[in-house]
Amino acid sequence: MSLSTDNTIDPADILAEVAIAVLEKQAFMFGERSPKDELITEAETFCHASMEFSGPVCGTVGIEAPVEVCAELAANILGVEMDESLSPEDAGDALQELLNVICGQSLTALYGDEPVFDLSIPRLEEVGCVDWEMEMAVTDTIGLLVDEEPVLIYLKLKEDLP
Amino acid sequence: MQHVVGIADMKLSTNPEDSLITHALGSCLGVTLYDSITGVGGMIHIMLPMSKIDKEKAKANPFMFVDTGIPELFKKAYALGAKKENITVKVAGGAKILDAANRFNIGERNYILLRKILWKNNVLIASEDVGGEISRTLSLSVSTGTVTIRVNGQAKEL
Amino acid sequence: MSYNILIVDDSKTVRMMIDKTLRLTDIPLSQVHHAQNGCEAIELLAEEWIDLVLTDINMPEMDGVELIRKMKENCLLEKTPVIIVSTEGSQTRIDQLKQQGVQGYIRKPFTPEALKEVVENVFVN
Repeated sequence: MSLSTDNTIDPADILAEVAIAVLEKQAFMFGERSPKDELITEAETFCHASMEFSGPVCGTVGIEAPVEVCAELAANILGVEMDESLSPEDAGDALQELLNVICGQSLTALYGDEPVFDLSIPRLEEVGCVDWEMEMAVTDTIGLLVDEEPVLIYLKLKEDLP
Repeated sequence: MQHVVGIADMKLSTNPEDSLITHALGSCLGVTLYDSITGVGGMIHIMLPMSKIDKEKAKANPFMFVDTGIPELFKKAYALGAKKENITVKVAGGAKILDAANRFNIGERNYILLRKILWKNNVLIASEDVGGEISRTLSLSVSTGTVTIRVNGQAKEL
Repeated sequence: MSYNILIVDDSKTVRMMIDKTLRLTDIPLSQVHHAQNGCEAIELLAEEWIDLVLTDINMPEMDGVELIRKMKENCLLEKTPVIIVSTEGSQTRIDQLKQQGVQGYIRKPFTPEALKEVVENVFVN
């Protein structure tokens, strides 16, 4: 599916669809879009992964989720139970890799398989409720419920012309 | 002798004269397992993904749900002498069909949850015929381990 | 005959997932080595006999493209089979890598069964 000059396709919709598909295929988790005001969490610590892409179009993608969700993500991808010895680093690494895959697949869904994009290495930081609330307040950020847990994703395009 | 596996049902056999068959796999999942060394063959016809929606029903019939049915299938196969390292698993069904609760995605959910359970238990799927919008019949020959799918009268080996 | 395989990816999650998949196949394995980037991979390839390399493209320090180029320039490594395991979606880039002699390509996200098939095909051929 090629976006090019098609203004009827919202990149946010593509990002959400891709994220949901990747979560299912890679992590066996079921996602659906959710209005952000319906995303309730009592988590206090979150993992926030972000990365840039450059090419015919440049921008940033990011994902933020409670650490418990990241731990489940890691356990599912690795095929182990949650109570096996997974470290916080494993949980963060799983989220970074998830973002890496979502980014690659989203760019193909938006622009087709001809353009060449360079992707940065995903960054990871552990953040608290303040960052979560800030991210929730950003218009471009999309809410997802993943196995009934809240996850935020975003895609920001730099409107640079070649 | 042919044994029919009904909806939310599971059967195992070590008799080489037996075959197992299940019909009308729409959103339901049909899963076969076969140990070629001991000749243990099993088939389950599962309806729904997660037992937490009705724990009482799951207790009465674990074969209704993926998360209770699959472990039970393996446990009973092991009791008959099957060994995990010799087992071949094949899968059919999981189609996109409107179910009784007007949902389209039960088939997909069944399949995803099955994959998760098998992966966590170090089992790969040998072959599969899943998805689409079709109804399938699945059969297993206990003497050879051959698994056959039938769709609209056309048969093919899985 | 049993095989030594090298997995190259900056993500520990991916390395562990590929490792687990390889161990669930019927491929006779001797050792499965891990490297976090192309530099580590080159060091390992200098010390160990490797029958197959599975590599990501996008990695820090030395990416998969550079790793493959260095392997093809080395007469001891040029014939070592390489499979790309990547999010790369550009057909141009994939075709370039195949022209360099990469034996297989699998795009993330992948199922363990799909990876098994690609790896088995390389060993059969």
